[in-house]
Amino acid sequence: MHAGLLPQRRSRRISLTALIDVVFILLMFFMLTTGFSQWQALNITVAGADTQSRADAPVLVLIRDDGSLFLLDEQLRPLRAADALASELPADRPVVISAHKETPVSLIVPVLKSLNREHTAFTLGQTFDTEIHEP
Amino acid sequence: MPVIPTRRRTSGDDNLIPLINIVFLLLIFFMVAGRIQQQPDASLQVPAGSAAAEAQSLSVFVSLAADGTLTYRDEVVSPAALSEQLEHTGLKSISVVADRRATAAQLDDLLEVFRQRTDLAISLILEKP
Repeated sequence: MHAGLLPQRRSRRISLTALIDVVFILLMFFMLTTGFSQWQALNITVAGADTQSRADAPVLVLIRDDGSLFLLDEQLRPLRAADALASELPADRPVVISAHKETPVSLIVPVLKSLNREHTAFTLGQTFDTEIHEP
Repeated sequence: MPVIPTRRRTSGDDNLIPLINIVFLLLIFFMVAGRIQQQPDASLQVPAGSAAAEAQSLSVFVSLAADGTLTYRDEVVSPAALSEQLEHTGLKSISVVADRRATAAQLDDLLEVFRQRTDLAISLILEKP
């Protein structure tokens, strides 16, 4: 067939407006639904009915509302920074963490992180509201 | 032969090309770098720190705000209501996203709910610095 007999196709440019509409909607979707925070999970055990029946008496790590740490075993003694906490705890004894009622979570987390880093099992006990004075 | 070159007719779309270039770049950035997941409330200041376990996703979590408000599945709940809701789910693990300014007493009120559920694994969520 002779090419001249075919109807000439007009070259039409595709409008970019429709394209950018769709792309903007996709952009909005991804901007609103995506997050960039990377979360880390710190596994904790809470003191429940099963933890009360242990034979070994637990050592108690007390966190005062200013973040200072105390170990309550046979007697009360202050502990150094949370970083070296695991080395100061007696081995083979269950560890219970207890914080003053007004202690912010930001001061409890370093203690939990330190024990977790040293693979020391611990239980998060109930809070207390009495004042602790250094012996 | 014409001496003056004919000017190409410009369409209005030509001005959109730099714009769409930038928008495409932004789109690709968010698609590649972001992660689509349920986010905790933006007002929460999650404690920073690295832990042993990487949280893959925050599919089921309870938020504890600085004022002690508990949020579960985008609804403000009381500890009693949360306990009731958890009874009806076969959850094996739950994450706690606590604001760093929340007090131990407020955290304890939340953990009291979990103390009755010995089969539930609990993890405290930290934000990777």
